[in-house]
Amino acid sequence: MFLMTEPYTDVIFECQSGERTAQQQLYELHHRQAFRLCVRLVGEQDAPDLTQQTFLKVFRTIQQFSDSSRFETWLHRVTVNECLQHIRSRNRRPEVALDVEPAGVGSETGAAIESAELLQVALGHLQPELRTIFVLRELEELSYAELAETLDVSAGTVASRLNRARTQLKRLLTQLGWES
Amino acid sequence: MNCQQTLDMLSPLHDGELSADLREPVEQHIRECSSCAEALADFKALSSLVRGQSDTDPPAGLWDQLESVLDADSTCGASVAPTRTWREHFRSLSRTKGVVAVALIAAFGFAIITHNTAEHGHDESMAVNFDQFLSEFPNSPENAQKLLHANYPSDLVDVDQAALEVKYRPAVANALPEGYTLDTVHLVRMPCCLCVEALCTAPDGTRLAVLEHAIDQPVWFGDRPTERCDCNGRAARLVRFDGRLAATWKSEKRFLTIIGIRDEEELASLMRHLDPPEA
Repeated sequence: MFLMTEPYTDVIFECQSGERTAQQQLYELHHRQAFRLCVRLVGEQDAPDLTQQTFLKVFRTIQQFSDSSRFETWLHRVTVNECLQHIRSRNRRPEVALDVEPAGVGSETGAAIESAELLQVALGHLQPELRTIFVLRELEELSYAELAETLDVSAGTVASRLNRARTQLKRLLTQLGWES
Repeated sequence: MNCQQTLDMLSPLHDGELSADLREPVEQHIRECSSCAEALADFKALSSLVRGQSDTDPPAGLWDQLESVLDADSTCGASVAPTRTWREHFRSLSRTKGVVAVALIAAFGFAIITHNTAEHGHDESMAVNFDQFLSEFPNSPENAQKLLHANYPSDLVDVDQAALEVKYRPAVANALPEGYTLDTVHLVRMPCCLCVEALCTAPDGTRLAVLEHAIDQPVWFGDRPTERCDCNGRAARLVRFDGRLAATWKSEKRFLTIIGIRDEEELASLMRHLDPPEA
């Protein structure tokens, strides 16, 4: 049913049967990865919610998971979709949109904040689609083929988006005082 | 190979994704062009910056909350949207007095409901007092909506997202009568029922709320007298309030409620669009 290379086929199969122990096992295997991705895409404040929503979606729709894609790729796709949906929803609500996460640039200067914060601030100012592809490449180290599959775009789009993401991120970081 | 062609291939080069036949000319250009070489160095510096970051640990207790929602799923047998989320648990500890008041009203309404309607079985658990909703709706549909959302977790979504969550095509995805607009769609999690709740605007500027739920969950209208009518072949219950109508009926597969209708003629028109008879 699944790829023979899938290292935990039994766990996924049991999840499809609604086995709680298997669900917890799958969660333990992947929740740090999903949380890390959520932190980079929506910020630390909303990341626990989005991690929770991601796994709810995973367990509710795991019947749809098939051998045509690796589980990690599918999980990435679900996580990214949940995060992008959250960002779009947040942007539709002005009172929430003010709570800019993960940006929150405020009046801080580059010299005053650590590089981690600097990066988070700059990432928060990237368009969500550019932020997503950059994080998936740099943090999750997805190949171009995996990026194309996860984001449902062509390989050419992957390359051009990564170029734009890196160029804009460098410009934002420079404006914030980052010196490479 | 010029600068633009090189820059277009900079990410694939940096990521080791450039084919061998292109790699050599691109690298050759970079050796001879300080500007392109600098751009590549920037990309490398960005990678070093990102990969040098330490990860934040997820908070403890996430699984416990997730499990409680999964348990609720199992009990209800329904596929539902994310419910009371991690942050909402913390937010709930610091709700304002106004929200507390709303909660008290809702609790009071719930007490009345549970006292008066034991014959309605699982409806008892539906802790929203639609009498309150109807009272507020003519003054401010948005406030009535907030009353609902203060009691039940809700998500602002679009129709496609709603369809994905409830696993059916919501009635408001159908074309509305000419001149009507669909303003917002929310998924509202009620006990054992994920409700699609939409606000629409009629051509005369009045607002309408459309609620759709898959599980038999008759909507109460407090102590208001109800009328029964046959509309487009559907047996509907009507309630009159403040010169407007609320109507609820069972469609082929689900239950629909519209609040804020002008008259029976408008109800018939909306029914034809939202709940057309199956061919």
